[in-house]
Amino acid sequence: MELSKKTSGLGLSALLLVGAVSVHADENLLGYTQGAETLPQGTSEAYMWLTHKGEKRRGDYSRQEMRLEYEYGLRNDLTVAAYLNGYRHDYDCGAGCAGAIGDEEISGSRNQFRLSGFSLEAKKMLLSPYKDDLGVALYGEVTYDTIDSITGERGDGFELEGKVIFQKPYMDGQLQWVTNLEIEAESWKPQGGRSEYAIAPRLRTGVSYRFTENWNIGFEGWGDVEMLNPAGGSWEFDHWDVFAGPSIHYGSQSWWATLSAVTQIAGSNEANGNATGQHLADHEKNEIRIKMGYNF
Amino acid sequence: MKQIPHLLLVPAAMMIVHPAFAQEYLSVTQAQKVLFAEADKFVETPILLTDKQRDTIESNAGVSQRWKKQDIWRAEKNGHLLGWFIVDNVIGKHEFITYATALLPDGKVKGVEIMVYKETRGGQIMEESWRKTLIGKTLADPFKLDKDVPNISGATLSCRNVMNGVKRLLVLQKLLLATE
Repeated sequence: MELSKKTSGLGLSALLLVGAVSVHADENLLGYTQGAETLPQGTSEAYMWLTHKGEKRRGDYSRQEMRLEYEYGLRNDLTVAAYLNGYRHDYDCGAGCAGAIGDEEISGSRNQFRLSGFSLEAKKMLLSPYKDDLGVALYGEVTYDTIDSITGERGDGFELEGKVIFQKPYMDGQLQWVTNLEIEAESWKPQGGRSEYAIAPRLRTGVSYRFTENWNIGFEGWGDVEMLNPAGGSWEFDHWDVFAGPSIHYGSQSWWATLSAVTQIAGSNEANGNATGQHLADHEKNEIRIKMGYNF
Repeated sequence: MKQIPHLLLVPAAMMIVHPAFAQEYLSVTQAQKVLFAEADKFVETPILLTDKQRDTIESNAGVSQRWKKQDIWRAEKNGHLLGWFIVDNVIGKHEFITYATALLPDGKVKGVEIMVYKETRGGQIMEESWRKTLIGKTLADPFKLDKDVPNISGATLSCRNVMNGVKRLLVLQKLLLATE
């Protein structure tokens, strides 16, 4: 695959992962799939996100994505938020952690943490999951990034993300079903290189069940497809992938935390001859995410 | 696979050790005195519901009757029935909300008191201004948020479940409790 030769292509695709670390309003029952509720007017919430991603096709690769978020209820049905984003990379890939032999991607080594940029978000609740039975919300986010999330190399990236969020409570709210329809559009310009563009639609869905007071268990999954327009090229299919895994959530009066672990169930191979059934250039085999929120 | 950084383990540990704080605002005795101040006697008459009775309540109320046992007191004055005092639990955002409902023999809500509330937001649900919107309600009322019962932003689930709980208790009264 031609794309797999290009670091810049990886960087652009990596920005999609920033979108995968998409921002949330109100308490998050699941690690990745977002609910439809917004904060009450005049109230605030601070979040901390840590996402560990590990295991490529070869070599020794891991990274952590970190986000600090401040969220504010502008109106009862409108929440805004600002984020500070950073990455820690720790890999030793030699000739390349992904791609076909002789056509490797993600080469060399790196071990460093750097702040990468910021995000701004707005979320508008159209229907309340508890007042209208089916909750519906619209979500928009813009991100500026200076770090390639996969390789850690410098560049400039912009991302726009939109979502339609659905949330359906069952059993008086003891069981929640949430689904997000998402679309991301972004650009990435590596240092000294030319801009590339990508579009990725995604479908996430999951359920969360409160098995005892304060505690929920859940399961979620998603699939996405990325279309890429490389520098000097034209729009082409890049890859698809499917992730799924369990989560556990604790919520108390003043704070909450969610721990999720997902694995790549399936994906398009990033190069011919790699018949593993996973896409390991832009994604990894496993992810673990911890989110914590504090209400004030 | 690289080892997960120890930093990731900190919030996980916090999830395990964080204690829960209960906030009890009224005991059963206190709630009885508030809701039936004129009563001189409360006769404990709990009901153990059959599965069929629970199904009937659910089909009439539109919400499930979670508990097989319902704690009920008969409020009396000079041996005459003033009404029914019922303690119930409904799901809040994180924990159960314990509340007491006073029902008159003719199937009207006399009053509602929140006994235990432990949620982050929605403390207004304990204020009289919200609770009094349930007074006088009968099964003929819609029991719909922002229609006949106001919603409290940030505590919509609590409002809905307490409101629906009161409706469910009215159904239970109609089906199983005496009028005299």
